[in-house]
Amino acid sequence: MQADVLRVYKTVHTWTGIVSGLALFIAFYAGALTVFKEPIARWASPPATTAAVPLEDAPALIARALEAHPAAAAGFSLILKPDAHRPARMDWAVPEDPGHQGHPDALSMRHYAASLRADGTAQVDEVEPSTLAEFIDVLHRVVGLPVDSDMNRWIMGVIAVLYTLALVSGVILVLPTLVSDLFALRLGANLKRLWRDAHNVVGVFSLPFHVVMALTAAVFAFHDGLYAVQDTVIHGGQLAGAWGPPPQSPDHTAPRDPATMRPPADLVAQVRSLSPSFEPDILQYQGVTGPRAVVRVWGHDRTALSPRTRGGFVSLDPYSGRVLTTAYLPGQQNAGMSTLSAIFALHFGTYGGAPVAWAYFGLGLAGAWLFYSGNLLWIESRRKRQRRGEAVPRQRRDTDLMAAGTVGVCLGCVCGISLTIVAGKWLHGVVGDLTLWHQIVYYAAFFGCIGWAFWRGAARAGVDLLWLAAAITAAIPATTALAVLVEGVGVPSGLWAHMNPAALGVDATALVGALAFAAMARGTRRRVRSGPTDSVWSAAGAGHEPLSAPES
Amino acid sequence: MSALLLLSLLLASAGCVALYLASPHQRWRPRPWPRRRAHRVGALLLVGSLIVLSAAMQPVAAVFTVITWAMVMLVLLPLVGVLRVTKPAS
Repeated sequence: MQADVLRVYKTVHTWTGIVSGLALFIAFYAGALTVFKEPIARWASPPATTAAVPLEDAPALIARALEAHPAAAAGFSLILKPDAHRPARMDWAVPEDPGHQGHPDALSMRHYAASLRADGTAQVDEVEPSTLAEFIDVLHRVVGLPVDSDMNRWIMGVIAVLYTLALVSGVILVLPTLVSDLFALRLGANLKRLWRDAHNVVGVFSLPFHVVMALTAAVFAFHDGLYAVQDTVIHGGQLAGAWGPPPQSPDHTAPRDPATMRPPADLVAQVRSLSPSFEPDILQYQGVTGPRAVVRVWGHDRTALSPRTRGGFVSLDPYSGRVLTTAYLPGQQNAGMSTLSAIFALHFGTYGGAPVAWAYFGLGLAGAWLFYSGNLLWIESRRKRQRRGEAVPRQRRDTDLMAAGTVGVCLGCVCGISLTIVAGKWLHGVVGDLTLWHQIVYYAAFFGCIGWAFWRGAARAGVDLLWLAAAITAAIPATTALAVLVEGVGVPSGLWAHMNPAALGVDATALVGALAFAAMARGTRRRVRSGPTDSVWSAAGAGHEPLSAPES
Repeated sequence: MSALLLLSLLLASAGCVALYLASPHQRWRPRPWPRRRAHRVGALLLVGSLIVLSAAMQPVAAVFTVITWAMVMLVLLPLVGVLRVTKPAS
């Protein structure tokens, strides 16, 4: 390949990477944690105070709850296995703004839970489930922006397009040496080559993962627009009608009585007969008093791809039990729907069980590191080297700024997420709007770290912030340990500790993360003190005064 | 985790190790394994992993699982090689 062609691709790769890299770090770090969204939600949810209504009483529960709250007939869920993060048998959510058009922000919903009193009447309470896991997912979906709005998704879409360009140009760049340098990770005095080797090892071997993430992220960002074009060009404005069940005959236009719906246990048994390996967990009812009543029986199938993060589903008529569609039932889809499901499954890692979930967690963290190392390569490429007998050169201001920004944004994201996780327990019951406080805590830590990085300079701040990340991340299992201790001595603390594998897995992973950050902090401190002085990562160099200091 | 899934992941891991040890940049052994033979063994182990997993799950899910696992292994193996080299002497 001609050198000038490679130079063009190198420029494209460098600048698309630099522009999108820090946003992608946040998307990938938060995305890696989102793989374990449900365990995080369980960890952050206080223990249930009342037992869920037995499943055999669910028909009465639904009927009484809908008598008391008719608006819930538009959509509610029946939980087959209530747990800490969804403790009630029946719950539903409505947008805080009833006039909201389009997709409501998942963080701006009012949640309700229903149970039965001893006299058989419904008790409906507004509840505040933990939004911690949802908030981390929002950070993932909109590259660290606070709200999952259309505009923020479009920003994510633009970042995804830049990411795609960076991938394509990166592949072209490594093509000439792909075979000869495969698996190369050369140690030695040439630090830039080591960073580039490491960047290439991660980039080349996880390329299929990154191609999937880039393309699906772009589609998720712009899919409303794509659907609108499809609707106009292909479906003649009839696309919305294709999603629900077919319209009922005129004699079904009268309001229907939810008390006559088939018992949930029957619907579950019917779905199990359709697919024995499918394990239902939630029944999602929609429009049960209207002519197009439908219940989606959601669940998981360990032997197949799941089309959504929450699994797959079968749509039934809740009154007759008639199967409306199995288009989203894992393992029972036609070729077209399987292809579509594969796209979702590949993004969310909803196949292969726990090993694939951990693989996605690792690849997500490796992806975050990929963008971090891209910035390091940019900085290293612009390093002014000290010549023998000469004074330490002053490094370029743009590399100082890029180094500080990289350290601040990346470690700010890490510290912010760890701190908001810890806050999920410490602020529960102390503040009124915990969702808002999750945002306040995250962004305070995030911007605080960025400010600290620019004030102290990248080298010193890197050490400080890595120790901070280690301390805050260690506070996650420490909070659980403290809850166990104070509970043991009978002191009311407001904290809690779940002794299930999912929640304990969150604590164990955080502990490993804290140890890793501590090890990185020690290594970084060593480099700052005794590494080459002609580097932005050295505290000894002449050109590494805090940026707030006046220039001489 | 089912026994078939575990066996499949072990086979895939072994296949990736064979591919890595055939590389001139491998750091686990004084000399790389004979390239052609190691590539064949690696490919066979990966195909074996896929066949085993296809008995436990939908073929497309099995393909995605093996590829995902192989990506993780192929990223990790060179890093483990570096750690072996840079491990401080006791």
